[in-house]
Amino acid sequence: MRVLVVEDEPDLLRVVATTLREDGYAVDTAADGEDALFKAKAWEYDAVVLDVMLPKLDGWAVLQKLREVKHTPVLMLTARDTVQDRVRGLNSGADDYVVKPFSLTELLARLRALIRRSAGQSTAVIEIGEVCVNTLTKVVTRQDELVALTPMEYALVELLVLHRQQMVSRTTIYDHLFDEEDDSFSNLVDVHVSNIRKKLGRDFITTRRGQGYMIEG
Amino acid sequence: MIRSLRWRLQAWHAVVLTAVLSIFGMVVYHLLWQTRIDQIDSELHRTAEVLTSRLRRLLPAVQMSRWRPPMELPEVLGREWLQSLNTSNEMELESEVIQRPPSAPASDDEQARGSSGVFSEQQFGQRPFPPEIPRPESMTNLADEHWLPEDFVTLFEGVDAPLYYIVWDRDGVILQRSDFAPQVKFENLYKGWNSLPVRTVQSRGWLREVTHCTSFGNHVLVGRSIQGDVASQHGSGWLLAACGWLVLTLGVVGGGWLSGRALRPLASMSVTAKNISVENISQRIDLAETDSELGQLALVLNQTFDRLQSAFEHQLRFTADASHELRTPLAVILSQTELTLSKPRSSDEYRTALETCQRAGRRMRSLIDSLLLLARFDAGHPELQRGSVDLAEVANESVELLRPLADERKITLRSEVLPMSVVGDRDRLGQVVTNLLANAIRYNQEGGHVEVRVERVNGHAIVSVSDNGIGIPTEELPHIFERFYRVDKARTRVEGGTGLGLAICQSVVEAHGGQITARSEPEHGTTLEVRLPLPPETGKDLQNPGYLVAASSFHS
Repeated sequence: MRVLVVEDEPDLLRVVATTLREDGYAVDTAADGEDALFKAKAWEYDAVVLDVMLPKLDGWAVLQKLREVKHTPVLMLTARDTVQDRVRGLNSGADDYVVKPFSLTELLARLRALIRRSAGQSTAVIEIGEVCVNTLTKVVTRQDELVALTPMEYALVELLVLHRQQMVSRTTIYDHLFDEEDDSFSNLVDVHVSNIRKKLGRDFITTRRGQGYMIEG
Repeated sequence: MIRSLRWRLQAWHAVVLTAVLSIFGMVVYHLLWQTRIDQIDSELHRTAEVLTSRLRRLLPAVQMSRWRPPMELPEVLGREWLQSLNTSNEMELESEVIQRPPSAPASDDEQARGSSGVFSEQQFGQRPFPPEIPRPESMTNLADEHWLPEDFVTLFEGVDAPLYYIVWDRDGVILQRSDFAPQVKFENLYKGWNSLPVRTVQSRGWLREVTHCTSFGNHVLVGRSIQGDVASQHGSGWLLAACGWLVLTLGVVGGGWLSGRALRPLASMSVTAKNISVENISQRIDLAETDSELGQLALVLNQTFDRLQSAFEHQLRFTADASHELRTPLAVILSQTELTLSKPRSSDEYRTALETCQRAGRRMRSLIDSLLLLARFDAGHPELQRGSVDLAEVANESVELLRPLADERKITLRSEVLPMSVVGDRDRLGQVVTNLLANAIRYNQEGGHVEVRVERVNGHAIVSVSDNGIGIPTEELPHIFERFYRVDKARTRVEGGTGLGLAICQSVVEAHGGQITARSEPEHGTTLEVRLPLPPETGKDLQNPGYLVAASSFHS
């Protein structure tokens, strides 16, 4: 899952980005409104964590302009917690709202729920045949036995599961799993797919040559 | 309710209306009465004139008739007819209509007649003219009615009821009286043969009478009862009063309706004003309906609401900004610790985490200090340690303090200061200069220069800090002293400013009775100028070079 974090306070930006990376997200960062809008328009993020008070273009303006072209889930991050602010946030198209100072656990939980909802999955635990993916604990079991996956493998499984019965192209996978700072060779999708098949069964992921991958179950 | 404007208005309206109507009614009543009396008087006069002119024509005969046997009247007068006229007069007027005056009651008729005869004799004895014709003794008490010969009755032709008449000669002897004439005491009006005719008007009880005195001393009294007129006048009075009440009632009811109508916009205004609260502070009184004096009031109220709204929004923005500024470092501390504690970390990671927390903590401390300082200034307790402060010294200290920062940015620091003493708080003034200098260095381009000047202009000490940086856009200039206002938000955050520096500078300078102003030319630089009042004795110091510089520049 790839997320854009927008925050003008450098320390907070770093902490939130680190937290999300440690939770297995690919994280892009932006420190002002203009940069944020540019990145949010250019990439297919699974979610945007957006601060309200931003230089150049404030969070509301970014949200409004983004909504003209995209429906990327947006989680607003703000120090204002009056009812009016919340109502305004939700009215202008924000999907959720977290008030500073926030708990990182809460932020992660809300972000996960947001991504799941936008993918059309309402439950945290998704079962595909004998495989069970728990997006809450990020644990995958097969025939009730724990399967050890690397974070990248889990991210790929989660992406495909959230878009089950849909074709997921290699570009999409690249877009969603790797952030702008990721330049390692770990982004070889084929290798990850083959590893996942070894662990979860050959037929878990179907390859459509020239198009991409999908989970049919 | 009783104290409400509308009721008071109505009460006053009623009082004024009553007063006006009463005065009007009284004037009209009086005028009516006057007109009536004038009509009666002119009627009486007219009749009396007719009688006197006839008397004058027949005077010799009348005069003679007192002591000579009655002459034969010419046949022309028609005696029979005249006599029948006299009897008809008697029938027309009831005897009780004529009230006799209290001075002459009916029972004392004889006595009154007698005394009037004596009186007239005494009065007349002194007169030189007409030559005294010896009067027969038997005629002294000859105050008999209808003394004139029967034939002279034609004199009084046309004097009908309710008029009555009495004719005396100059001695008060009744020559003739109408049948129903009351007893009237003779009053001599005769002033001599060459005097002008005299006329008098008098009221006796219900009677109105005029007396004319001819040049020969004959007195003619014509009177009538005015009882009927008084009654009719009273009737008019009651009618007037009734009309007055009607007008008063209509006026009060109409006034109530009008005042209600006039005050209705006021009521709606008060309802609107009452409903304006924090939630709907942008609501305003509708000006469309009230384009009168009330419209002015509404306009003024709306302007007040505008100012209140602006103040309120200002306050709200400040609170939100302060809350944001405090919550952000708090969020850093909390999330950093949460992240670090979520799993075992290396010592480097711990160090980074602690450093982050320290930075955030320091920022909170400086923010809280600034907010408390501003709050003290706002509350009017700046707690200034007042003393004599040399601004040159203060400026030089600030320059030295910030030289490392300037060197780091490759910015040239110049200072041109004159020794200048003001009364103030040395630390706070130092804070102001340091703040201005730090801003000038921070927002200048690399290789730029910053200049501090301390000089004297027009009896004021001026501390100015100018840079040749990018300047402040003209539209932002009025806002730079606002709390948490940032021209370039991103840059300030990186620099670690609180957004309160210039607001504090302004508060400090204003607490010293001074002024702080900013001039800026985009792309050419900014000058911030602090103007402080000088103590009076040094302000007049002619030997001071600063003064001379100012003076010479003034003359050039």
